[in-house]
Amino acid sequence: MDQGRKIVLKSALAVTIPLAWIVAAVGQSARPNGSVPDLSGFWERKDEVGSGSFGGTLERIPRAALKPEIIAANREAAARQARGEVVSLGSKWCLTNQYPFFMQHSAVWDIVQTDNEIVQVPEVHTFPRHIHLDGRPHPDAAYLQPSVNGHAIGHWEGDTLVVDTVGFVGGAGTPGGGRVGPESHLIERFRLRDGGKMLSVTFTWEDPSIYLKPHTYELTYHRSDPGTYAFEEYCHADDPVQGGSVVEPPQK
Amino acid sequence: MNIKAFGLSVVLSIGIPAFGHHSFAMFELTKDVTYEGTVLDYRWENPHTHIIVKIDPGAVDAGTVGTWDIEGGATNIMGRQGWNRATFKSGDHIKVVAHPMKDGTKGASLFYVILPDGRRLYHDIARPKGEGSAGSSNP
Amino acid sequence: MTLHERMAAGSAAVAVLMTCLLPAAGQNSTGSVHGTGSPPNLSGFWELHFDSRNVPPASLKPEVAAEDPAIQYKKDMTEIRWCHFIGVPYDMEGSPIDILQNRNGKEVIITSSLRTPARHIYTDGRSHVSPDVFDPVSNGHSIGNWEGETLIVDTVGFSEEGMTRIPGGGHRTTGSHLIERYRLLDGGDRLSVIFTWEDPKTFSQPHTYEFRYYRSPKGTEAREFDCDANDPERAAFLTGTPGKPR
Repeated sequence: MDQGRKIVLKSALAVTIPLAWIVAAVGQSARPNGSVPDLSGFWERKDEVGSGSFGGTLERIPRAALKPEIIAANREAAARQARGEVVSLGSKWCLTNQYPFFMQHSAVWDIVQTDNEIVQVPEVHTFPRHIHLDGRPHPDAAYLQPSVNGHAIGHWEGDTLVVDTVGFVGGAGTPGGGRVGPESHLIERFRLRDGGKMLSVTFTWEDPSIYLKPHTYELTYHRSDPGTYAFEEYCHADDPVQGGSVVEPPQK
Repeated sequence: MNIKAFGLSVVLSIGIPAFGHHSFAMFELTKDVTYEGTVLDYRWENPHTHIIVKIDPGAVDAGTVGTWDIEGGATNIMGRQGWNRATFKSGDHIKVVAHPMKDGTKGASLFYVILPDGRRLYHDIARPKGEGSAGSSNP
Repeated sequence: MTLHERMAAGSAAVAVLMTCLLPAAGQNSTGSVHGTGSPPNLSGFWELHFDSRNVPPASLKPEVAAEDPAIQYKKDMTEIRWCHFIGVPYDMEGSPIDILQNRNGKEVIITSSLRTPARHIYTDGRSHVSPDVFDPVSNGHSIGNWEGETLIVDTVGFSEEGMTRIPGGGHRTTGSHLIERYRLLDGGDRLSVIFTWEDPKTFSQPHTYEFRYYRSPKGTEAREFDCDANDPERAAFLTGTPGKPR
């Protein structure tokens, strides 16, 4: 090997090997132990600004751009609700809460995370939500079984978990006045904030039968205190109080 | 607060359009009334916890004299706010801020109670206007 | 370039490649890292087959043994008819179950296909919640710890909601105490769960039985067996006499 070639080879090694170590080291520090962010734990919504009521905590969600017929249906439902009518007996019969209900509820929910799957476990009467991270696609439409949580698949883009969901049974509402239908497509982006003390979830709903354009909003969650444990929100449709409300007591 | 907007947000925030065993529209949600009296019954149950409160004549707010049904939330919702089945018992003194029924029925929707040491136990995550919770589970 | 120079360059390239791959080498595609000192990974979908259960008869208290079975039957059917939460132990038969062993080692979740809460098994070293404030629930409160290759789960705080009958006899009560032992078998293709119930109201001695789950095929999807208490046909079927015309 002539001197020139030796210099070239040594120079290449001198640059490449340290560079490789630097790349590996940077990768490891951004993802400790070579792993993705740990989203696991209990998460809860808080009223960070003082909204005055539970409904107020969702008032800042941007309004969805809805098709005219959906707007009309929402107005009619709101008017009936304002008159005090019960327009659905879903609660009286303890029907299953559909996604994204538990994401905007006051109850905490739990994330358990493995390499191949993340499950979101709510307290309300519904099913846990399974997000598959093993690279599987959505089932072919002919075999897709509609469900209250839809079929969710996820992957990591840097420190963001991107979740793609189809196959909703439909019928739920979303913040901002949206609705979920059987053809709805949801993309969510889960990202830790504030050193892992908060979790940001951005929801983007697409459904040409409901929305004029994709409906996007963000909800943030606070990590629950250590030692938090799950409650069970039982619902007994056979209990007369389930369908009841305030009853003026005897005036002694 | 705009009731229509609230009703819509409640309707659509609870998962199924127009979903509810009853409507919160029956309460004066913009009105906070303080009820101070004695617990007759503390029912820790779903779908709503109920606190039966008796307020004797001579109360600061004469309009609160009587026996009231103060309706709270589900036990898991209130549990996160620091409540449990032993928080109150019959005979306890109580000071509760709630939204009264529009129709004059002696019932109200719980907003929060004020404990003897000044701490508040809230119904759910909602806080008074401008008083946001800043990262601890209570307040 | 000479052969020697090519070999030197090639070695350098291999060194660079290995360095870049090292961070990924510790993980496998089926679960979290399992190296020296870390517990086995129970994660995955698991299902019961016809030969999955070894359930001997329980030694029941005389008064429990003398109970009319129709009482338990009616209770169970009522719980199903009204879509109450199912709870332990029946939700362990809601095949397939999905076990997720949190990569941070602090919790194991067991979900089933039934509309009933998932089981939370806290493995972060916590103790049971004081019964003075704990609201009994259908799954109870579960804490777990590893003894070698076996996950030991201790559960108390049960309510009497749901399907309370216990395989082999007896039923779950507020005084029940359940200890489970989870252990992988056959190179991880099977999961053994040994259940031991203690309850002075029910059993004259601890009652033990074992399930051996099979690992579900790759790509298994979670199922949702929903429940509608407002369905009159469903209600009539569950509460009526089997085979009787409606």
